[in-house]
Amino acid sequence: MEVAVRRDGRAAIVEVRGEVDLYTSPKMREALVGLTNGKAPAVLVDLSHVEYMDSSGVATLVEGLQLARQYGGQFKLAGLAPAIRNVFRFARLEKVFDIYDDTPAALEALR
Amino acid sequence: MSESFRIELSSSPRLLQVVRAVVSQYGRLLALGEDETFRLKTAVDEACANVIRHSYGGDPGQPIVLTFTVSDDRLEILVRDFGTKPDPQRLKPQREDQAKPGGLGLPLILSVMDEVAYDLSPEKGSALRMVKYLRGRDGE
Repeated sequence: MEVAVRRDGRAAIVEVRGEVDLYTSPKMREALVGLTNGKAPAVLVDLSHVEYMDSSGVATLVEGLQLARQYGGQFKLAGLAPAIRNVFRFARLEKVFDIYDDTPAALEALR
Repeated sequence: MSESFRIELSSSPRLLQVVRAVVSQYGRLLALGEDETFRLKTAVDEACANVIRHSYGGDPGQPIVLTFTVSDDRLEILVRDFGTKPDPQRLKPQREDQAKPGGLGLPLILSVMDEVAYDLSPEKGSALRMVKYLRGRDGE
């Protein structure tokens, strides 16, 4: 799994690629905690290149959301493939997140 | 007709991707379809991750034994560990020695499998038994 962070205006975009599971999710957590520790005003997690995610990945995103909310930051997800979105649905967490079809749509919502 | 296979792995999180690859390949062999195979892969992954986190407390060197058995119209997957048993207080009993599992992965597992139950009867560890009914398969 690979994680890269880039900026677009006020948003920090976290691009995640590959499979997110118990072994790899700490790497995604490290990026999210780093951004929220720095009180990034908007964090957008681009999951369009994620092929698999288990509950540890979902839990890591929940943690990121909670950390951002603590200082009034925004936290959005984008680009979930149907199978990945189903993981959120079956974990009963789909409605907890702001989920967008793709990164441009999420960025537009942040403007 | 019945067929089965068994794999034993150590409780190392990085081996989860190997487990998923095996389940994916077996799902294709059973002609489960792409979506169903993905969901089955998720259920087995979550079950193994629960063993790693809870039964073995993150110790990566402990044994996990997965047994896959297909007979008639059902696939049974047994996830056996030899660590700490699930806390019975967190489990809703189904039978005297069985109960549903708990945790964040539970809704995922239950959304995929038709039967899910812990067997707490082994002297050491426990066994999670998951059954998927194989309706409307394309293959065979």
